Amino acid sequence: MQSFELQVYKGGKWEFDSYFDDRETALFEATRLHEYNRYNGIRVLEEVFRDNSDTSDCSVIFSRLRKIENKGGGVGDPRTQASREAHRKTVREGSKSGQEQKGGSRKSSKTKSSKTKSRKTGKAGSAAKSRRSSGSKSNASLKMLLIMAVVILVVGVGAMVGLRFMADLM
Amino acid sequence: MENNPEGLDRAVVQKDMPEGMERRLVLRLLGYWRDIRGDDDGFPTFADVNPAMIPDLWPYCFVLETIGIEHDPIFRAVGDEIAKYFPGVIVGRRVSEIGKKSLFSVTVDYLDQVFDKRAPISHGGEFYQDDGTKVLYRSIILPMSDDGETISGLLCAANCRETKGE
Repeated sequence: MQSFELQVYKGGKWEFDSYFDDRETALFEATRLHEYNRYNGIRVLEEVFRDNSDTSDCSVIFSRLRKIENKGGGVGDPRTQASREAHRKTVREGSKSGQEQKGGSRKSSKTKSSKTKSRKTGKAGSAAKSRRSSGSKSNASLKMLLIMAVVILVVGVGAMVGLRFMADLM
Repeated sequence: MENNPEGLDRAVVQKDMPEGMERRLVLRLLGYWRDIRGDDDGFPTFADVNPAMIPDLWPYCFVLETIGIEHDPIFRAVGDEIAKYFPGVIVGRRVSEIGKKSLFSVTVDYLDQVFDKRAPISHGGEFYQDDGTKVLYRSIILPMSDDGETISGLLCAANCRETKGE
């Protein structure tokens, strides 16, 4: 059994958009979304569920990413995320069993928790990004200060030597 | 799907809808759903749905009320075209009352997945009617919400193509 998950890159993270059971439809929609130019990234994940197992193989079968101005790099870079998550194996305990679930409260599954987790990760990620960028800025300032101090020292020593020399001449 | 002899379906297709149109209809509704949702992370409300804006899609749509009755939603609105696929009146009926082997029944068959994944889901497939007619369909279920978070209803759409013979 397989399913196709269309994801969009929004707000610095990948989010679930929609699900299809047909590869052609999923790719058609992904292409259309990409042309629509609404999101910075579109990708389609094919998930193949293994028989007699709660595991599935997941692979990216479509990926379109726009150039994003990324000051921090790393976590926020959709290309980095795409390469990390391609061909990953996921354990979906709830996905297959979700088809048999009837009645009761519709507690969310991994999907909602993943969405929630991705929102929290997104906020944490942006905070980490700002900390990293401010750290690198302070390193650069420190270097500049050191260089200026050395220059001033050298100039000062040179001036002293020069003045002494002139005093000796007089 | 079954592997039919090549060309058989084309030879007996009765519906004159262009090939792929049923798929695009579903995707156009998905596009409309995205438009009314905007950039929010939540779900759109039924108040945002304007049938006049989707005159070519609305006849193939139906609405399910699910808040508090997720296990057995109620049909609240049905488009004129899709209503033809059910004998009698379907508005006001529960999902459990519509039986099998209908366009409605195959569409609502994966309701649980929509609640589970909290995202639009599209399925396609085929089923046989009592008279042996093979029906190829594609459907979509779109979660809707009154508060943007809790799924209070579902906007569904389905389209199909009938064939005869195997």
